[in-house]
Amino acid sequence: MNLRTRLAALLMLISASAGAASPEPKLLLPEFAALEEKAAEAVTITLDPALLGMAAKFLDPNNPEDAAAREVLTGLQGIYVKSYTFESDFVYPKAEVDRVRKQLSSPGWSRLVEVRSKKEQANVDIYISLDGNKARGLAIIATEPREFTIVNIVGSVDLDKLHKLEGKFGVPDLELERNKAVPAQK
Amino acid sequence: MAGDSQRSITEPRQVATALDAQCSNAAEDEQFARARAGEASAFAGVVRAHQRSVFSIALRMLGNRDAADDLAQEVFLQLHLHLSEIESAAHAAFWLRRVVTHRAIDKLRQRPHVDIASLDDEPEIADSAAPLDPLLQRQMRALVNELPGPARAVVLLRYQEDLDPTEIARTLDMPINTVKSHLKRSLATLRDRLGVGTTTVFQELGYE
Amino acid sequence: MNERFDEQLKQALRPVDPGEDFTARVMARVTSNVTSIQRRRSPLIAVLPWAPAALAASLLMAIFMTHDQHPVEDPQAGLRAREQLLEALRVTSEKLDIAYQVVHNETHADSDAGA
Repeated sequence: MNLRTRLAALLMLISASAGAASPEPKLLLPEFAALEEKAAEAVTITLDPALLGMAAKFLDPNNPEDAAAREVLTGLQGIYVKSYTFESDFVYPKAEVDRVRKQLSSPGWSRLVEVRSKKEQANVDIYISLDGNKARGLAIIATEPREFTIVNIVGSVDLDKLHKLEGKFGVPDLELERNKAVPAQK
Repeated sequence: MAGDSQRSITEPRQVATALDAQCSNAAEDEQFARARAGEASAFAGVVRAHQRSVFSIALRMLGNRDAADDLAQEVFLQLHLHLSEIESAAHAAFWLRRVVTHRAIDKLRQRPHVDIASLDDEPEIADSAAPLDPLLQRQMRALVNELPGPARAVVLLRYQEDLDPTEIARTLDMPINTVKSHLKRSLATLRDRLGVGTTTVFQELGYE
Repeated sequence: MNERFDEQLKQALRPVDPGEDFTARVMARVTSNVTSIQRRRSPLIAVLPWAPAALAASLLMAIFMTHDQHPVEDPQAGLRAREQLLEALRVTSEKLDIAYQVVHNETHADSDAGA
């Protein structure tokens, strides 16, 4: 069973059992003020509906990156990102990350994917907030030894479109690049 | 050129002032002042001072010598037309890098497929120091040429032009975190493709 | 090892010469451009040298008169919002890809084992 089939099956299971209560898809993200001081790099992005609307007006339809972003934007009401990179392993407190996970254990949020990569020591959990059959929010918690990232997207989310952004956003499409041979030398 | 979708490039005066504070080369500034005053030989001197940098950025962005030559000439022509807006030699260097990378990125967007084979025509760099590993370096150039436009520009400004992330961010009108993100991922991709190892290199580059 | 990689990359990307006659070709175009700009000066301006200033003044008046009807958004804020949006989507797609790659590799490993 390929990934898409597994995800589709999981989504059907979740929608069949979804309760009437639908929690707020916008998470309460901690300020992480202490972490900002320790981090080698800190990214905090807060795009509420007004800022998303403003950003949309400045997207260039002739620019493939902007056009891809515009497609994903439809139906979104907010994007919130906190990402920290450190110079040593596991210096970020697990308790902070767990506080966010706790919000995602409430009814209405379901863990869609749980990935544990021993090789890279990378963990990625993807959660989805459903209202009946409709996705109204997405949360990603990704941890590596020297980085952790929390992403919260509010609104109707298309996972496929989001994933396909990778090839357009200055991040080489890894699948394609791995299959492409380096040109032979003369 | 007809059909080009050009980015609008603004030139805040604060940038010019900050650049002046950073580097003052009296001879370069004097030559630039004469060029601004209309002295053709002085402007030719400005062209000679920057032609390697501008042409190389164009060449490595576009992957084609003829296209790079055209773009580089066009950029210097634009410089001549905008001399009155440029305040110093350092500002001119910043302006040239900014315009050539933005124009090259625009061209790449219109023409995403790059003729990789033409890079084999890249002349060997005449240098008294022997290349550390010429084959590896050719492979590196080929891989850099496969990076998407904005990431390629970041890598060139860092490794060809020796700019730091803050300067790259200013040149490309890009948030500094995006610059660092491009660098991190591009270097990881290069290392991965060259089989050099995938341990994180970003922290060791010392960017705070 | 990282320093050596950096050194190799810097050497690989050292600037190259465009050719000996590059400057001459640029200057030829500059001279030709200057000449054609001089030729293209509007005859109207030759007769009415104050015309461009008057036109600019009228345009400015038109802008001020319509300003109240069309509030102008701060372009700097809009561009910053756009950059933030692109960065947010970049981070999101990167993390999604980690998940997809691991699941994809596991799926392939399963099918190889079952074959």
